[in-house]
Amino acid sequence: MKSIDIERLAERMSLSLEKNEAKELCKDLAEMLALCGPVLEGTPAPFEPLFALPCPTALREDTEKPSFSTDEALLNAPQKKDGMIRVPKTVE
Amino acid sequence: MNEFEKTAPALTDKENEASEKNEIFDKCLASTKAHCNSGAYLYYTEKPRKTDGKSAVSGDIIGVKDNISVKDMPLTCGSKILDGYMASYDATAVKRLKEAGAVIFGKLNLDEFAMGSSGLLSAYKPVKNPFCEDRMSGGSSSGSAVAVCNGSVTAALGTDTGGSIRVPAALCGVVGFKPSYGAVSRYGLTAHASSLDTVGVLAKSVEKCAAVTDVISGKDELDGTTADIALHCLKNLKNGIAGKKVCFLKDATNCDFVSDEVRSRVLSTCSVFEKLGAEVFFDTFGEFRKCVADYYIIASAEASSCLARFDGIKYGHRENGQTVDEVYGNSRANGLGKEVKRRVLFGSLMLSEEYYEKGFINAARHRRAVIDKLNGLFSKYDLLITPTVPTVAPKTSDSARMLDIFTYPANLAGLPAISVPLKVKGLPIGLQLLGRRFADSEVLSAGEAIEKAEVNTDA
Repeated sequence: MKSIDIERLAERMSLSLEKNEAKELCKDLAEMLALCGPVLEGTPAPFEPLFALPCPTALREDTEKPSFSTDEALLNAPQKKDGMIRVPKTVE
Repeated sequence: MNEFEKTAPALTDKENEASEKNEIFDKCLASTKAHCNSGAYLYYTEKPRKTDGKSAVSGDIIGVKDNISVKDMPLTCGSKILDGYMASYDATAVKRLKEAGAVIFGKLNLDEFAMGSSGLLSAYKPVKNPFCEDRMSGGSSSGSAVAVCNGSVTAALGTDTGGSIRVPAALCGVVGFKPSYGAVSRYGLTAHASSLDTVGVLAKSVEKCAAVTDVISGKDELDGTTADIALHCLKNLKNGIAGKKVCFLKDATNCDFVSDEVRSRVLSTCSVFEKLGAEVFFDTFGEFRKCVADYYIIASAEASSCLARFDGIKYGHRENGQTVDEVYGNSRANGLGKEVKRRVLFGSLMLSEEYYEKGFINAARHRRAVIDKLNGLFSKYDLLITPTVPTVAPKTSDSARMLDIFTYPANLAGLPAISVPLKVKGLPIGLQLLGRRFADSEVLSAGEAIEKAEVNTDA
């Protein structure tokens, strides 16, 4: 089994991990891989993959209905200004 | 005043007038205060809001697991990343309970983001087993089970993704019911794994579970996965179990890590089923171990996506950073707990190029195989029986990893399942009954029959 590239996974999951924490999590992931061995290493079941249980048609009428006000939507924003969420700069 | 009371908006004058003396509420409040060290509550109100609805849950005092949205109450999901978050709307299940005349009492503690089966993984405080403080309460609906057990609420909403209603119900000696997937709207539930999550009920009686299920279930246009099926749980509750074919799954009851006391107590119910007029069979499922793998792969993969929204930007805990990536990374690293990080990283691994086919896709194939196997069993039997949990409540220093081994199949297949407490002298033991999808009333009526029979059993 290849060693786990914990730094790459953490980057993908937007997690800034300390070195010791990353080492511990790497060990935990290895244990989880061992726990999942029966599926990871076993013969694939001769079935099509199931991603969601059968459900009725999800569509509803396309009618306009009341929604959240700006104030309600911003209720929990960590930082806000002029009716908008203040976010870190993303554009150079 | 509890630590969250000050963050809730004050009642208006009109609401103050409308809130009335409520004896049941006063009793629940007294019990909550008497058990304030249980760890079950993250928030509760001391002023019941008057409700007008008339139904089988009128006047019931309901606790809500804190991953389900209740307007004007905190919604933390047991996580620091949502510390201080106030919900601005009611989940559909909560809205329906309010309309039916129930009183929403407070928010109940849980393992962070419903990930865990011990009751020890809330970022705020662990939940203590009411029978023995150095034992696990079970999770992730730990607060829900303990609040019901302590008499702080008439019933509690919980959620079940891999056993999170049934396991704490079994370890705390209360009834825990997981409805069929699609029976109850997930609108307002903070997603852990959307194809597995189910909103359900814990209570001291099967009848109360049935009453609450009737109220909260049904089609919801805000959740496209809900089915337009009326369950009629209360109406069918007294149907009993005569003439039904019940099957004890041998690879659960005879499993080597099931304790002798759980095995013998569960098997002793064979004669109870027979006395009630059921035909008892023994058969094998054969997929429990693989279901553990399926669950961890599928649930973690889905969780890695469902929890991507907690980045400190629109809501929740935000840390500083020089760049937006640093803000994301620091907010999530300091806001999310260890088990959550473990699961989202594992989920990401299962969706990576190296593991996608042999991990995620294989688990999804095996999920269909599990459903096929269960359909085969249900072509012969009406109900499947296992212990809910392999042992009595483990010590808090032990591992909780295999507590859910018998509960995963119901989530993978979307089946209704109930844990009914058996009469014992020592720590609680739960009996699990599973039924066909949307045969929720059949599962509840069988659970009720066992529950009533247990009253007359010598422990």
